[in-house]
Amino acid sequence: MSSRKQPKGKIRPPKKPNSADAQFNDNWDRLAQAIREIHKKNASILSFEELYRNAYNMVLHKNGDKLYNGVREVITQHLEEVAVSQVVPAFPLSGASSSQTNPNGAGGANFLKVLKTVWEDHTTCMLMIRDILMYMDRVYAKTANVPLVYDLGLDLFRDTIVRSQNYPIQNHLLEVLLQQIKLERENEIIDRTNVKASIDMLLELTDASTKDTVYATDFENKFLETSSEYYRVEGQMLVGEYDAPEYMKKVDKRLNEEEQRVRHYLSQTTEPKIRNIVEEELISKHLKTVIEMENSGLIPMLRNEKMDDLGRMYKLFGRVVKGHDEMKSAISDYIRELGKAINETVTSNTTAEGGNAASGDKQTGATVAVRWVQEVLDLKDKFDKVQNLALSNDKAFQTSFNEAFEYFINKNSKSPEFISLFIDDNLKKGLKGKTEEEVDSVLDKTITLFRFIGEKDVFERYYKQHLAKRLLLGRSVSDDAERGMIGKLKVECGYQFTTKLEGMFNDMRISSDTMTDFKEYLDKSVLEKPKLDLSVTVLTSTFWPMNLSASPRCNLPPELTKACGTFQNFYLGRHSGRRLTWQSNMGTADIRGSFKARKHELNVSTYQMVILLMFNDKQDGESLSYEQIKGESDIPEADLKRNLQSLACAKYKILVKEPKGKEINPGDQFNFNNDFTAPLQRIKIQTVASKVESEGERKETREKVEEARKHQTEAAIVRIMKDRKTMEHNLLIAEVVKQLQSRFMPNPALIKKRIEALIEREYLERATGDRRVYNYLA
Amino acid sequence: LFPDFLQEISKLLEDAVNDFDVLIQVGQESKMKEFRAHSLILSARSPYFRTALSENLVAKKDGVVILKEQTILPAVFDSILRYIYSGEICYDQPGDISSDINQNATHALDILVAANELR
Repeated sequence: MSSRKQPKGKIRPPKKPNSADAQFNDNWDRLAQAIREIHKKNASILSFEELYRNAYNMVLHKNGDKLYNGVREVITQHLEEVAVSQVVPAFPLSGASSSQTNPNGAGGANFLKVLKTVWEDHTTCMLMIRDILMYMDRVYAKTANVPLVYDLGLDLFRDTIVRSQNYPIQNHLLEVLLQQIKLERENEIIDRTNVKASIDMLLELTDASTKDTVYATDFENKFLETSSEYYRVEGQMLVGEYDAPEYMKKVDKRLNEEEQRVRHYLSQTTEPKIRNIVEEELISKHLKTVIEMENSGLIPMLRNEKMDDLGRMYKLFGRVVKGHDEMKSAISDYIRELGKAINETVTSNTTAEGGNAASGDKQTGATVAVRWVQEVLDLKDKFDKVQNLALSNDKAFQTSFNEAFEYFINKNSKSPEFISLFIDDNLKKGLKGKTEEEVDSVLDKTITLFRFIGEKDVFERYYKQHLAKRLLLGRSVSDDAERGMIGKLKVECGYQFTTKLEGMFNDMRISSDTMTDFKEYLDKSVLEKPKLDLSVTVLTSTFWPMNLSASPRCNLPPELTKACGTFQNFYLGRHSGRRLTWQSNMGTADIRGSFKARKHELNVSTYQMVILLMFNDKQDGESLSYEQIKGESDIPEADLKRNLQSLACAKYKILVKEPKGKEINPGDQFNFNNDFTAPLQRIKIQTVASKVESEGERKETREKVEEARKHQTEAAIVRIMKDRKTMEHNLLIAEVVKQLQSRFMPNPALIKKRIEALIEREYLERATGDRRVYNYLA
Repeated sequence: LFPDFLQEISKLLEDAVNDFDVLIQVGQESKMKEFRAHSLILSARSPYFRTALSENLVAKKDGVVILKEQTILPAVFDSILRYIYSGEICYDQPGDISSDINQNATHALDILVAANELR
């Protein structure tokens, strides 16, 4: 129409048909020729404006379809020629066996190179053709709903070259690509740019039916299948040939390589898929084998603290579903096994001592406990380190480790006692020469073990006993350290757990005030002053682990009895309504002894003092028999044996025993050891305050604990029922367990018994309608 | 700011005598007229020019691209070029266009036709 203004224009709106055809043919001939020139790379001789105008005129005159089909034909024809003249001659070798006959893949590489050139030529041409036919794209292709000319070019390339019906180009292409990748996997250097060009080409082509890329439909699946197969074989080979660390390094390397490969010349969408395959074939399938590898698997790594290898395993195995679970359970089993071994050395030690323990080879007993705790702590340290350095502090692993520790610690029924003894050992004065900081850090670690104890109430009982001895015998390192420890326990178990322990400290403080007052009282009073310095600690019986009813008997020397009487008068005069019971088994005394060489000050227990004072009345060389001492002093047998042992068989032999030996037996004779010498003026006779309990004592403690548990259980039941008024059996049990589990794990049978006892005592009743529901009776 | 901006861009066309990089030969033989313009502006405003100027298909001479638009009247192209630079169509121009009203209407129609082709 633009030609309308032209005076000499050949075309006028009412055109004669033959003139329009002529115009069309003329236009088309020029365009077809131009496209051919473009294909011959002669584009520079063409005039864009003129060709554009030709296409414009054709579309304008409703000949868009003819133009479009014509273009299709010209391009197809050209591509057919290209296929025959360039692509087919470049086939690596005829036949499917090309990959074998051509080991270095040079033919394949060349084929890819040719294909790359063909593809690049095609796209360049298509860009020019698109430019010339811009008007057709814009006006005709849109309304006719056909692909734009560039996309048409892609489709034609796909159908004529890549998926040619006439030549096996597709087979060759896929085979060569897979072969190249295989070569690279086997450490051959390949020309990645050629591979990448082909892959990019496949990515740019779209499959007509699936609308997916030809890469996805034709290549990807084959690639994944081949890779699966490749790694299946490799996995079996590697597992057989390498040890675990080497194996994991190889796998790590493979994973990296595949990732790099994808990044360099495959599609990003393939990344997760190929990763899954490598993970499946190299990790999942060989999980157990690698973990259990003898001499190099998980356990040997742990044993030798191979943190790098462990870290690698953690990272690799984390990639697959079951990986960490397998690792976790293997490590947990190992912890349990080590724990069991620790427990066993302890039990074998204690049984080896056998009778010894009962008669009081206390030092060894305590040592066993300390060693047990120390070994457990070392084990814990070791796994904390593993956790920290190799497992990125993975919470799930921590939990499973904790469970394993909990399991074996609670397997050892003595663990609460041992842990308390261990703490005792560290808080006792002057034993280790450790600094306060060191002690503190040890105690911090011990607290982590304490967390694992199921029977915290048992621990509390032992801790109370040990604390009492430390306080009363003045053995504590420092108040601060003790309070620090209690603070730690408080954080763990809440304030209820520690009130009694704090009460014990309170008693100590009040007692020291009382003693100051007592001294003043004595100074002012007209009474005859006692011949000795008396220091009394008044203990609140509910706080302290003493047995009131079975207050130990002991015949104290008269001076002491008198002094005690004075204090009793003083104390009861100030606090009416209280009762004092003397716990002579807990006291200490400073006495002066004259030996042949020199005088020594002896710091001894009250019982030892009583025993030694007996020898004051005896001549040199005169001996006392065990029975005599026992009868005169009235000291309970177990205590007497222990104290005699520390006087006659320990480091400082103040007494000489006949016959010699470590054991105290009925019928033994004792003599004062006048020849005793020691480098120090002041001597402390160690009565071993802490020791592992004997079987009998343990049973007794057990019973006490059981008794206490009954009360606690009942208290919990009443507390809950008071709040809820009415509750179903199972819910009640669950709630009770929840409340008590910070102290111990109550078993449902125990709770049930307590409920029945409470019903009997009419705190509760069964609901009339439902026997499984209880009501609270106010 | 905005009117200023337009004005300054429009002015580029007047100044194109010196710093042009596209030479467009419009019209046939004797009536042919040369327009000077900037490839950057043309490309930015018109896909047709963008394609025409971006390809290896065009001939370059001393850094200047020469386009031939033989089917368009110089007067019409002048209006189009002005539109490209200023965003305005102006009928009342001095110069080659006759002031005849009837011709003016034809002129408008021609602009539309050419615009469709060169869109």
